[in-house]
Amino acid sequence: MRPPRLDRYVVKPTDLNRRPGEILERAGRYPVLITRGDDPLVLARHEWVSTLIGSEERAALLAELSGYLTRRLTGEGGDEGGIFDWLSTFDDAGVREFVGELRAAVRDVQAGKLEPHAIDALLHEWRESTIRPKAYLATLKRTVRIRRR
Amino acid sequence: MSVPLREPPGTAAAQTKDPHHIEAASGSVAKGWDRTVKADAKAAARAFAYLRDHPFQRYPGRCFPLRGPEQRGVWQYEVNDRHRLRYSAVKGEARLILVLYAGDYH
Repeated sequence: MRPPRLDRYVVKPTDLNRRPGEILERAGRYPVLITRGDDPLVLARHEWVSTLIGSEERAALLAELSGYLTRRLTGEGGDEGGIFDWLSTFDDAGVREFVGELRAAVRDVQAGKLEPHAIDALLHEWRESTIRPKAYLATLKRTVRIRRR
Repeated sequence: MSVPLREPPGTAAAQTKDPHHIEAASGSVAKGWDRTVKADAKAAARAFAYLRDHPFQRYPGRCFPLRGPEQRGVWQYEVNDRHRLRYSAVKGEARLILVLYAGDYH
């Protein structure tokens, strides 16, 4: 959910005492800006604020990913010890597939078709796919002829 | 040699008329499953019911296909924050699920 603009409804601190019910009701629909000199406050739904904070974290993550991909593309090595080190498990085709899925998810979030947490889930799923215990790999190899792919 | 996966106590009744049959790909996979049931019986029961009723229904971040060409067709169900189930369908067996890995790898 995209948070609405912050200055649609502006009140003074004294209004909070005079009309608390009305202001709370409005804050449930869109953020209320409370003027306070040079230090204004915003009264807003927890869900909107969470979305904003989550957006910042995801933007930072995408910047890290961009750095990793650039290093990989220019042959400067992967991301040893970095948060995207696990992507080195995949060959170029795998990374292309990953980026394609991520781009589609970001577009769907922007279009409101997916919740922002879908991006976290996608990253988690790809990260989990790189964890391959020896016993699992052996079973994977042993069952290759009977598994439906 | 595959062995039937033990149904955890407290597993909900099937929600479908034609549930899947779940087997472990080996005795060691079955033992891994038993350890998972012992560690978290409630979550294991939920996992068993999910696989039995709709093993290939996506649940983002919980039940999803694994990526990478060598894992094509393999799905993962996250029992809890530590335990995982990895499984696939079997050629020529419409309602059989083969568990390739069960346990804690974190």
